[in-house]
Amino acid sequence: MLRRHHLRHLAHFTILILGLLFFLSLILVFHSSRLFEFALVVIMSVYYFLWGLIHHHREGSLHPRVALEYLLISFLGICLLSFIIYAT
Amino acid sequence: MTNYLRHLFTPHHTNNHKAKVLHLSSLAVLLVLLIVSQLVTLYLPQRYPDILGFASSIPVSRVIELTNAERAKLQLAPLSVDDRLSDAARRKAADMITHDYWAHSSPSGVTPWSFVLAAGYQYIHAGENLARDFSSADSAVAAWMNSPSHRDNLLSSRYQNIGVAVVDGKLGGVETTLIVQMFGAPQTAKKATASTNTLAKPVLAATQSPQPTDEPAPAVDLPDSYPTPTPILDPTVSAVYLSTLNPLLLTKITSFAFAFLVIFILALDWLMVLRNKIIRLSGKNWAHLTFLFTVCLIIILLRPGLIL
Repeated sequence: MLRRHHLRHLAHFTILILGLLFFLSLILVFHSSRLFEFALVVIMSVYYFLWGLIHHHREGSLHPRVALEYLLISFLGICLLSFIIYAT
Repeated sequence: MTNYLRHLFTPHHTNNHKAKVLHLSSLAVLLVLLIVSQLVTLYLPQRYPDILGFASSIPVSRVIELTNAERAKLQLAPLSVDDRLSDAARRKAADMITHDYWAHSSPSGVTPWSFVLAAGYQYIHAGENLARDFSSADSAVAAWMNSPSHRDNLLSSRYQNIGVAVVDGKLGGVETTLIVQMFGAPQTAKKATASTNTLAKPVLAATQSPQPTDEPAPAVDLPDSYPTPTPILDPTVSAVYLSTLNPLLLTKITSFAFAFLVIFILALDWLMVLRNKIIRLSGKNWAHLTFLFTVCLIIILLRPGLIL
């Protein structure tokens, strides 16, 4: 049971890492277009938010406060990057 | 004081076993602070403009190819490479690196046209586009095309020749790649068209004062008898000087400061939760850390690019 829980955790983490790496490479490849870069940052943050919701839903620990926490962290990511994209 | 710091940064019974800074209200405050500080960071460099960048490898041929491709879209004649303009572009790039400036005219007042003439290119029209810190020729040309004034230079039907230089060097102590794009139409061509363009009023390039602006050096017209100007050596002429303060660097520092703060507290909070085996209803710190590390990686790897 515990082993299954760990495996599921590992699978979730792998999905998160692969997704983030995918967006990281896309953002770097499409650097020439500011708008596209910004759109990718937003999509990456939405991906993280949705990942959080699904992960906690599967864990049975999804709560509005948890969802809001993921939303705020996602928005923090957008803010951290969007100003830099604008400044480049 | 210690108790307050513990309340802020570590899970404790006073903060419902979660660092106060990671509470929803605190995260919202952090977000507002980040937005305000970034807006200030973006506003400040408008008053104190400056620059920063990276070095990269950009083929000259690609810049020319893309320029002519853009012209071809409008059925404009392709520009032919002129070795003298290429030489002028190289001289200009070398001058910027030697004298550590980022402007169309040097701090001592040497204009781009001096380099064109010094290379032996007698022109009736000449123009200059500058770019720095771009990772590819495509992104540099795309940036020029997105700027109306640079686009005008690039797509001007008055030009016949082009010369491009891509030079790596240090500006303001920062490794960078400069792209200098020189356009020109030789004087012989003017003689052929002068009869149909008698309204053209010559503008002396040497009289233009170098202002710190992101506009490209506009096309200049010269009379046939215009003598080769000697470079102006007027130390009172204004120009853009370099320092390490620039919009991108300031924005990156601000973003890093906020990211580091949140990462540090998340890591500390996570360690305390693991050590004390705290069970709570909360987001996963390791997931937040993974996301924010990715964000930091993007911040580090994002390459800037500036045009002038």
